Amino acid sequence: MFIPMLATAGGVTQLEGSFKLGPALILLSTLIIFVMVGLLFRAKDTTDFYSAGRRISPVGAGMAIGSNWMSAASFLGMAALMYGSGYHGLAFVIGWTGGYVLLLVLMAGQIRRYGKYTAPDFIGDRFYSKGLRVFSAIMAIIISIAYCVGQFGGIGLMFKWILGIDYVWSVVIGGSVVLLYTLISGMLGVTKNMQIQYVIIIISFVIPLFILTYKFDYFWLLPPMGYGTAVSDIVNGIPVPLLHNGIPLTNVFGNEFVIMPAPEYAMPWDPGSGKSFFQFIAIAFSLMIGTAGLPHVLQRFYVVPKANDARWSVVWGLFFICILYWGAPIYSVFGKILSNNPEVGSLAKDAIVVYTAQLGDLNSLIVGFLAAGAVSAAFSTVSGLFVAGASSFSHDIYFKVINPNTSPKRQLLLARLGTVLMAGIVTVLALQNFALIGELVAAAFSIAACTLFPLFLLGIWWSGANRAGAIAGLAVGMFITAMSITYFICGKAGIMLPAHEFISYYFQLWYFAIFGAPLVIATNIIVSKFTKPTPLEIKKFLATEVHAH
Amino acid sequence: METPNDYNFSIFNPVNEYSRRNRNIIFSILIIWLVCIFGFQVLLLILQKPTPEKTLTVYESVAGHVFSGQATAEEKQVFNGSLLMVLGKTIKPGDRTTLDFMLTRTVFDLLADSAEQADFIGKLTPLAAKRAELAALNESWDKKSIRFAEFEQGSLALNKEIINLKNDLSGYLNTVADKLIPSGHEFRHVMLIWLPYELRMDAITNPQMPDQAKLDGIMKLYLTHNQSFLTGFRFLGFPFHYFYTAVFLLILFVGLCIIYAYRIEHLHRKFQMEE
Repeated sequence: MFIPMLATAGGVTQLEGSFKLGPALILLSTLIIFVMVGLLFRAKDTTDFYSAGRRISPVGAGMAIGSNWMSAASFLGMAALMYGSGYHGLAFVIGWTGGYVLLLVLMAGQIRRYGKYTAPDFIGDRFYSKGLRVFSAIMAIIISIAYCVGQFGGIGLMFKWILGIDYVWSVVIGGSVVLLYTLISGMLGVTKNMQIQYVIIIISFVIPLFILTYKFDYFWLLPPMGYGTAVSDIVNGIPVPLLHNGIPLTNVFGNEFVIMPAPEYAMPWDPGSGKSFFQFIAIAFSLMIGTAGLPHVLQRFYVVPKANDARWSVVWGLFFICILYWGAPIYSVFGKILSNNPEVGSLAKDAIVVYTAQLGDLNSLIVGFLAAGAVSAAFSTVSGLFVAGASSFSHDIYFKVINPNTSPKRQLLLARLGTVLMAGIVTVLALQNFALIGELVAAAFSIAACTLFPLFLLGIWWSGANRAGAIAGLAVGMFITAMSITYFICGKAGIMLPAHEFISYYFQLWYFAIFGAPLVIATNIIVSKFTKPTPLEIKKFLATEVHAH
Repeated sequence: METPNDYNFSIFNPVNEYSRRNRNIIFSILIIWLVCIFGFQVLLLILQKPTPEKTLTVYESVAGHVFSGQATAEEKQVFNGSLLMVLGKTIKPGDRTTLDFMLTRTVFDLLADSAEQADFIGKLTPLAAKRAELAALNESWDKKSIRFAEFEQGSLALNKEIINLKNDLSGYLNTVADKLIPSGHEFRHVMLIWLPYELRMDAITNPQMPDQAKLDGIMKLYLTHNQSFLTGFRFLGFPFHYFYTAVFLLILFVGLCIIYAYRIEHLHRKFQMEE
């Protein structure tokens, strides 16, 4: 899957090769900056570790949201999905951005006003249940791990490209580095790092877009608008090489900038792509509601001083995210044309962003900077996820349930141990190469959408949602999640279970929340209606503190 | 005395003016959001019609004659051109094999005499052997039965040999190109790039012809697309639907967020809400 250079037709294309000094130095400098920032702003106590002392401005928090969000899935995976399945890949683009509207109007301010540190904190408190706190903490850890698997895949691919070593070692080395600085810094360092990472990510991602559009004679002043003609060129085909200053345009190997007509790239749910309208809608929907249920995203709202800041941090965060998301399709479009030569052969889709820059014959330092940006994207997300997962382990399970008298120092130690454990599990899973980065990450969204999202939605917006309803809903969500994962793994292993085709299509791992989330919400409502109502103090707190009645 | 009912709260049943206005803002934003995202995709679905590419019509006009053995040389050239138009796309490996097989058979038929056919086989045979070696090497790597360095070195060396052999075949095919593909075709230049990569030795050694129905199905699959005026209309160079989904919706999301944040701020000021 991760074989970098062609194979089908027999070209001599070499996009990877051996150790690359320039890109390696850029990556090394970047990592040193991250660690230094982490050290300068390291966590001094648990409040710092969990919520950065609540001292971050909305723009700063927005940058952190953007950086936290722009993972390997955004940086590498989205272009990969569009490169492989054209218009269908846009379901991921709108899914991963549209969810922020839901997050803003339904969650951000209310969560900040509720005033808790972590997602399980909120759930345990709102549904007055230690058991639910533990279960939601476990779900938060599972979601974080599922999310991190794709990130480690991206880190491995980029380390492999830069160091010219085997994928297995790349994952191990890259994973160790991200683990190290998460352990050193904690959330405060991570938040500062995230702001720096955002700048690195976005600059590294955008510069090649200007160069590519200029070089291949499209409107380069605003690449997200300028690449439209390139999309139409793919649809209509380019029969003879376009000329730039009288010289035919080629890729780095001298292959001409030509392509057969490929309307399937841009047309909706094209028969040749094997993707359907239902899948498009299901992916977009699952990703959107999953966004509003991800613990590491929700956790960002605890680090701003006020609810109003939480709202504006979402606005800024989404804007910063969109800068990258407007650009991602451009890589897939140019990748499509530049690799459309049998000599280039089949490329690892997940590395198409970097390959496109290489095929476009961009300066190797710019390509190296791009790869460093991809690593930064994965690092920023992984560190946020590790903090969320570790918080669930030490704060929500150990401190709140097992040993409430534990010292802050011991909590911090446990958070760090939890981080190491998570990193180990993620590394093992990442080495299995289950699917594309974007697809693996989408699975985490569906899990969040079927478990945590309904608890937040109903917990905030309906005082009638009670403990029994939450438990029943969570049980249904966990059952659907387990079923989808089981069918996916069995499918991979070639084992056919009853109704395999039906479940694998309608409850696919990337989008099972399309049916799962509504089922969980319905269960929660029905059970809540017929069981003991929510206690007065919870209703009062919700009405007066959260909704300002 | 307070009762639980005093604090009952639901987004659908606001208890005061502030809550009612807050709900209205949220619902307005969500309705716009829902309609713009999913409404547009549903509209695309309703309006779409399976539309064939011109190549499919051309293919269908000659395929019957080619399979019945009654095709003229020109018809075979047109047939090859149609196959190459699909082979230039991203297609499933199994479908590619079928098309490659048929293309090779027709190319071989179009070479006029036994001397030309012998030249052709002479150039294709070593290339096919090296490709088989490369495929075996890839398989070994997939099974992890060889080390990465060994795989990398081996594949690089084989690829170099393959490209030399391919160039040799390519040079030969260029000399006989007028016999193999339509000379006036708009995409002839691109066809010549793909042609040497799509020829298979086993198509010559194996006399079995592919099934026409299977080939027809493959051609139809890759040459039919869901289109409507929303996909045909160009906006800033984009097919309109592509612009709408990839660019406009993201602008809309940011816009909705800004509107919401301002309106809530305004609401809080109006009702003197402390945060």
